[in-house]
Amino acid sequence: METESSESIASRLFELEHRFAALEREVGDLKRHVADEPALNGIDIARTFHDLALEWRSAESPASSVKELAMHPAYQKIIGLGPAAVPLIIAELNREPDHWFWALEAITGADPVPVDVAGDLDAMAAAWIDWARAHGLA
Amino acid sequence: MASPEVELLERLFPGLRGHPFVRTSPPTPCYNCTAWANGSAERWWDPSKGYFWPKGIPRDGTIDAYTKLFELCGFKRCPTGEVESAVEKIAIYGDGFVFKHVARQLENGNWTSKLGRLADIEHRELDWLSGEAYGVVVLYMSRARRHPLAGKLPPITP
Repeated sequence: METESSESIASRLFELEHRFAALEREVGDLKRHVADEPALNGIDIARTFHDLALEWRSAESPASSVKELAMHPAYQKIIGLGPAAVPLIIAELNREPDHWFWALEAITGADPVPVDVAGDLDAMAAAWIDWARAHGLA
Repeated sequence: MASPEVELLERLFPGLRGHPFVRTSPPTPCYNCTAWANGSAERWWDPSKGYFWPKGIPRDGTIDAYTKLFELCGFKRCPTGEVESAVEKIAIYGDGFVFKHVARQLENGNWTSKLGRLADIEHRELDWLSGEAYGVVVLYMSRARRHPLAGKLPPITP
């Protein structure tokens, strides 16, 4: 049986240390990813929503068209938050009715506002809040 | 020194700077210029789903569609915004084919405008609101003052 040369052992040791360091980096990345996950799906959605809602309200647009109001980048980002934003929007409607109906319709596809109250902001908000309760979202 | 609200309005509408416009209501998202042009402050009139918009009126946001809407409220096209006794006029602002705003003439000859979700203001000249936000006045319409449809919803089905 041949004995391994000290150069060969040193070379393998170097390679193993290099792979170990790479694995350590990978484990570190995965741990950070796992740590970030609850923030993406929980607390930070609420914070993101409230920041975006404030940005949209602060824009102080004089537009008379809901479509134009909804095209604001912050409003579009709220729609981009998807179904997770629905309970937050409903809570916002409960707090202070505003033009969140475009976002709700875009995310959910629902249209719960009766024709006879169309355009009446308080009644529209009430219709959406009832819809959300019926779907376990409020 | 101007209040923050006046500064905001002058930033949005540079034509208001140095002119004596008057704020006549607090800001509210509950109604818009379209409803206010008909004398109503109860609903937001808009072609988007869920909002008040009569059946049969196109939902494309064009000046043509809004002209049809105001015809349902008893208005007819007229050539100018000059004050006429016992006549109520509206001035429609647009940018190309797109409707942007409508102002209603008061009996004193001034105009009242609900500025989106912001306040109502009374302004003497229409071009004080012309610019990037609202474009320019593209047509005038008129009806008798104290018209029976003033302040009411036009029929849902024409």
